[in-house]
Amino acid sequence: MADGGASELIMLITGLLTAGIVASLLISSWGGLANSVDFAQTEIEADAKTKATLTNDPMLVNWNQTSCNLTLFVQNIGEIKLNIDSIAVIVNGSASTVNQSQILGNQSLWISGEVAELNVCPSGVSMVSGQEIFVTIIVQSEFFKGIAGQYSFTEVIRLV
Amino acid sequence: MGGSVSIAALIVGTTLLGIFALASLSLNESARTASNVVEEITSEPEFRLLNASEVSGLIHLNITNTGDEIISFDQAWFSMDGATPLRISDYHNSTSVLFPGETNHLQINGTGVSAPSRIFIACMGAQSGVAFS
Repeated sequence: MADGGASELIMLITGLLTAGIVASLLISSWGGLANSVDFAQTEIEADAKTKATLTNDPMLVNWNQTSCNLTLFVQNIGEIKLNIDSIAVIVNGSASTVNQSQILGNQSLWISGEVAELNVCPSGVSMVSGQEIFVTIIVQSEFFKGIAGQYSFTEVIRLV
Repeated sequence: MGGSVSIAALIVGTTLLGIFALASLSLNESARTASNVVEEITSEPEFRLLNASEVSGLIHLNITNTGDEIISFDQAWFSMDGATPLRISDYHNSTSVLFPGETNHLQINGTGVSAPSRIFIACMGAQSGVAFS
């Protein structure tokens, strides 16, 4: 009888310990999953709120081969502020340097609706007036819930 | 023996129910985010520049909002002959928005551009250009 009581007690403690371990494993694995889902969701939200477009007249874009200067104007059409220091430009497949950037109209923040002027130098690329080229612009937003959104677009432009 | 198994099952079962509740909440939140994302993707203005003319430095434009979104002249930029874009509301202030379906006659003065040949307007992803007549 006493042996039976002791074994019942051992079984009970073993059962409780096993249940506790299983429960904590389930909770911790759910926590990890929830965090990654939450991160992915915020990333999608930040990307969806980050958007930009070219404001230049695409058939009349200024290009100066001597000073290596392609002047592009980009409007923030998203919902989050864009980071003017985080812009990448690809001209006809070649990564280019953004030598200078400023927001038009003496604005200090690149908020929705505002236009930034970019002076881009596609090093090593020879282009002439009248040529039609592909320009890809990649912009990054300021942090939104701890994540920076990204957006890229490609346009065909004609140089003058 | 039976009692300990029942208690263990109760603990695991309660945990699973809790996780299911959290999963439902997360799914609901994801659906709401997805809905917001779709809404943001589909809302872009559309407009058409009908014609443009210039008389003694004063530029006349006729523009129609062909979309479903209100167009704000604060967010609309025009450039002439490929020059630096200028904000429409800085040069035209008799109206500030263009409603869907509305055609507006804009008069722009003081740009300093003489005898331009082409004007281009861009606003929040929509764009239209026309030659001066």
